[in-house]
Amino acid sequence: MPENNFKKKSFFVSFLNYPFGNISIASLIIAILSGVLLAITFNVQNPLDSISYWLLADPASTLLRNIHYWAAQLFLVATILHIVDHLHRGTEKDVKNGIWFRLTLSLFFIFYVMISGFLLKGDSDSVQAGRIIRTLFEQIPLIGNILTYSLFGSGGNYQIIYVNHIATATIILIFVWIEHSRQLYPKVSVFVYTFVVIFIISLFFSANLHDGKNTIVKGPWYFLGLQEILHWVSEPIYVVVFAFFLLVIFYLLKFAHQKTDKAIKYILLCLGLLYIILIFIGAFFRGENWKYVLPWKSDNGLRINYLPIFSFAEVDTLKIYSVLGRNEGCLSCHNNVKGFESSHLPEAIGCYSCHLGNPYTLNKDYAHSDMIFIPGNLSDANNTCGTSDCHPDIVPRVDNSIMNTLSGMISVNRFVFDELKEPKGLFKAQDLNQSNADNHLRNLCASCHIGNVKTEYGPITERSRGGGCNACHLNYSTEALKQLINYEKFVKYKTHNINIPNIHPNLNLDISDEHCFGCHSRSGRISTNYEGWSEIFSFEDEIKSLRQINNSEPNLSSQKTIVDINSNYRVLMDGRVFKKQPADVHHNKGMDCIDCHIAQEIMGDGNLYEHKEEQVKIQCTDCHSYQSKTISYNNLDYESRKIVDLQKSQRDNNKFLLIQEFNLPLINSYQNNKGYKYLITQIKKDSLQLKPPASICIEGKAHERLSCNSCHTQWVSYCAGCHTEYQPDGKGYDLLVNKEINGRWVETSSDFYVDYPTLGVKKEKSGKEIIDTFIPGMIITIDNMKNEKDKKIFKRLFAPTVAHTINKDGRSCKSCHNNSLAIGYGKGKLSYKIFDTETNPQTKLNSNYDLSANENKNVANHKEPRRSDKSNIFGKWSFKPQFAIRREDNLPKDAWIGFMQNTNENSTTRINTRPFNVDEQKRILLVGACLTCHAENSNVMQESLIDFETVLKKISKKCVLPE
Amino acid sequence: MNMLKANFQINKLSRKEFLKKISFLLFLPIIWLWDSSIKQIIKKDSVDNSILIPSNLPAGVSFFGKAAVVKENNKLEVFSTSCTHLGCRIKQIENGKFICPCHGSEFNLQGEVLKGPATKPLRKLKYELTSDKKQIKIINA
Ligand code: FES
Repeated sequence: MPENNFKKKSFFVSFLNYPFGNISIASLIIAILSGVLLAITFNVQNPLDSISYWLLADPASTLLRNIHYWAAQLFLVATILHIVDHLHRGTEKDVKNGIWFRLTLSLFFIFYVMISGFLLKGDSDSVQAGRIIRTLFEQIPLIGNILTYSLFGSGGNYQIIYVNHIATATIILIFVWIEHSRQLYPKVSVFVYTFVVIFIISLFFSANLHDGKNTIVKGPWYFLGLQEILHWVSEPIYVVVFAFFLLVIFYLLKFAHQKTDKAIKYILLCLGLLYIILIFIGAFFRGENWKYVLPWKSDNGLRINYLPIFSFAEVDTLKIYSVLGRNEGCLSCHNNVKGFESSHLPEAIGCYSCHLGNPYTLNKDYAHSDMIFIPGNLSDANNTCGTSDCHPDIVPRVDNSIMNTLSGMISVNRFVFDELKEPKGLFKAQDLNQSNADNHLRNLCASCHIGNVKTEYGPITERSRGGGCNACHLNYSTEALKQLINYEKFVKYKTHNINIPNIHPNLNLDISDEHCFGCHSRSGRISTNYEGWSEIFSFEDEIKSLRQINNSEPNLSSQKTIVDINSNYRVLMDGRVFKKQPADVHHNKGMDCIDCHIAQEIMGDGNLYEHKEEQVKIQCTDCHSYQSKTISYNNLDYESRKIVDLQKSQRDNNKFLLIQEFNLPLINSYQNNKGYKYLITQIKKDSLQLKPPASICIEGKAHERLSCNSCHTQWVSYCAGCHTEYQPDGKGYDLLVNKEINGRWVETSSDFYVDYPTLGVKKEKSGKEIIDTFIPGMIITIDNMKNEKDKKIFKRLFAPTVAHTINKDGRSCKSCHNNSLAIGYGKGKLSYKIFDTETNPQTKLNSNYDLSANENKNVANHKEPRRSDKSNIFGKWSFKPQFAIRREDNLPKDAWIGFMQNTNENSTTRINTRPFNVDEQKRILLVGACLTCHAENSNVMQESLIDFETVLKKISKKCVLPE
Repeated sequence: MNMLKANFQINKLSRKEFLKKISFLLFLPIIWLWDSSIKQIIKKDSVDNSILIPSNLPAGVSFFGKAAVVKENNKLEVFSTSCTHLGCRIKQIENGKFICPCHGSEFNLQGEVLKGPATKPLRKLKYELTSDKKQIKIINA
């Protein structure tokens, strides 16, 4: 027993006495032996394929690889410690010059054998590391190029590295080891210990294999300090010279006298410690693109995989699939997933391209670790949809698109809250802070951006917000939805057995209006407008019961809730009630949003825009005009051609129409050889003939400043007057980061109104002013603010609108010229009266023109009109508002401007828009005065469309013009 | 005689020393062979490394391995994706900038350095349209 104890003790002590050199030799032997065995199944033509195959299906080789890897790491660490130990003891002085020289040289080969092993993985990490190493070696003067080629070959060819790794460098190291230690074997005890340690580590931890998707590129751990240095040094030659200088210093140590010797060793020690610190920084504080990042905010670290060997799945019966030139374990289990179009088939791109996880294992848990279950959110799009193999050009465009930045919403909101002088500038939703304005936006509006993360399975519905690529491209087939519902029930109640769903939702170009509906049924409400629904406040009983149906447990099969009573009302999933109105003519013809709004405007063209209308490319006249530009299929850009191919929208070699201002193809249109133009609806595939505008739209000067919308917008829905306040006690929600917060903003809005839009003036980029449509954008009082309690804000801002309620016929003359709402005064009674001061100042000579009573009767109701050149007879417009005057600015609640008044500049949500000035109001009302007598379709009025000035010159004796 | 012998001995020793000293010259022809064989293979490897890409590219940046094509206002510019710092491949655009994954150098879409460690602009590559105008040949990628 005591003898046994002594044995044990000496065993341990001997290990301590001769640790590092022996460990280093032991690990080198283990590395060499495991390397020899690995070489049998290693294919140097395709290293990545070999290694990934081992990881998936060959536990023995994986274990060998792990042993090889860990032995090498231990060899490096032990060798360094061995050197430190000997330098500390000063034994270098006892070594012969030649041996010392070769020992110094072997330092380089230790580095080489390590880094070449790393490069032989052939994954994207080592490919990049190889590029760095090559460039560094090329810096060496004179022999740089041949040395680089001899050591590393040309990029992409592993043969030279392989030969040098297994032969040249290894032989040199063995030679140096034997020559300087005169010992062929390490101590058996050390060998056993070393082997056991390496073996145990290898059983559990696998050497990393970069998946090619992770954008973090770092290199091996001992390389990280160098990487950190290279990050700071612009001229890599300095690093090369410094490394060479260190080698020389090391060599000269042997000849240094005591004092110098100590000083040099001290400096070397400090440099060593510094390097270790740099390794730590590189490992834990550097993320993607070598950017500084806190360790707990990234998962990079040293990237050692916990992947126990005994977790290998039974692989005998499974096939290993290879997609995109790499082995992928996912498909061994999920090989019957259907539901895709060709480009997204698992055979083409695998599962890993989108869902990540670990493709190099068949163990379910490890394979599914770090998986992205719902890919396509912009937060991960760079690693999923947007990788260089897939759609790299699109993701940055979407990132910059207005649907992601919300730039306009942010600037207008800050402008309303007096945090910006003008509603302009480029902003990003991600940068919203906690000011009054931004907090308000975060609490009430910020969910409507395409970057909002989709976290739940299921199709895009009325309730959906954001979702990145899925927001538009995700489509569930009935079968896929059924399987999902079944699966969710199973997860919730665990009452039945279930097969994992194998019908995948599709990702395609069938972007229905429902995809847009969630966000665009709010604010400007173009989605609901387009379909012919206007929001109302209604508490009628029948609608209450509808609400109840909608509020019952959400059922996936009724995701597309349209609850419709007598087709007159619709209650959305969020409880809002809408009333039937005339729909947009394009909707009636079966067109969807994507039939006009092309990819470049929905996903953006890469540029940042301040407001949404700037990102829009299409104009009415691109389809409805006599002239058009066209482009042939062969000249289409890559993206458009791809869409044409996928949508099969090419018709008999006809040419496509171009969006004239931007030269972008309208890929679902064509012009035949007779010159007729057609549009093919992308989802229903109907062919619609595109008609040129009516002659009234393009003839004459009178209306040349009018946008198409001004006449053809049938109705807009708006509210006039809203009160907003902050309630610090309420529970709120931060929609930007999707979490509950304390405090919330509460909005109380006025009734909704449906009427014609107000008209105003918009200055285009060219400098030309056009008349366009507006609605009250923000007529708002804000008090009880979050940050400045006592501040009160009142704003009266009109916003340009494109209501998407187009009709074919256009509005009547009087609906503009005799309509207070259209001119900007708000609802009310606009009257034209004629006075004769001679006979009776109070006498009303002309009848009172009442718009509401005569709107659609093109008959004037005057009796004895008089000429206005008699100085005693004159006409006068007056306006009586429908709503009470607000004391803040003495205007009725729905007005933009006062009757016959100019306005200050802060009256719209854009810097390039304004209401009519007095001059313009007078000109509009001048025609209005004519219309009080002359019917709209009378010759006079028709002539005045062509040239009003000439008509004015020949007015009859009976006419009385306004004063 | 003695002196002669001594002289001879010295000569003999010197010759040995001399041979030993100049033996490294034997390496010279080997180095020459090494050098020229490698030069030859490098020459062989770099014969035709042009790449063909479709000519109808979308606006913005498209990556084709060794080359990135920037299309702006219908103007094409082709850059090598090899970072001018240490040669890493740039595969990514972030906020309208080329970003090198290795040490974080940034370049604008004209290839100019926005942020180091790189100091030189991205190498511009020459290109030409193929005769059928459907492809672009990037030369010397
Ligand atoms: S290689 Fe690009 S920054 Fe270093």
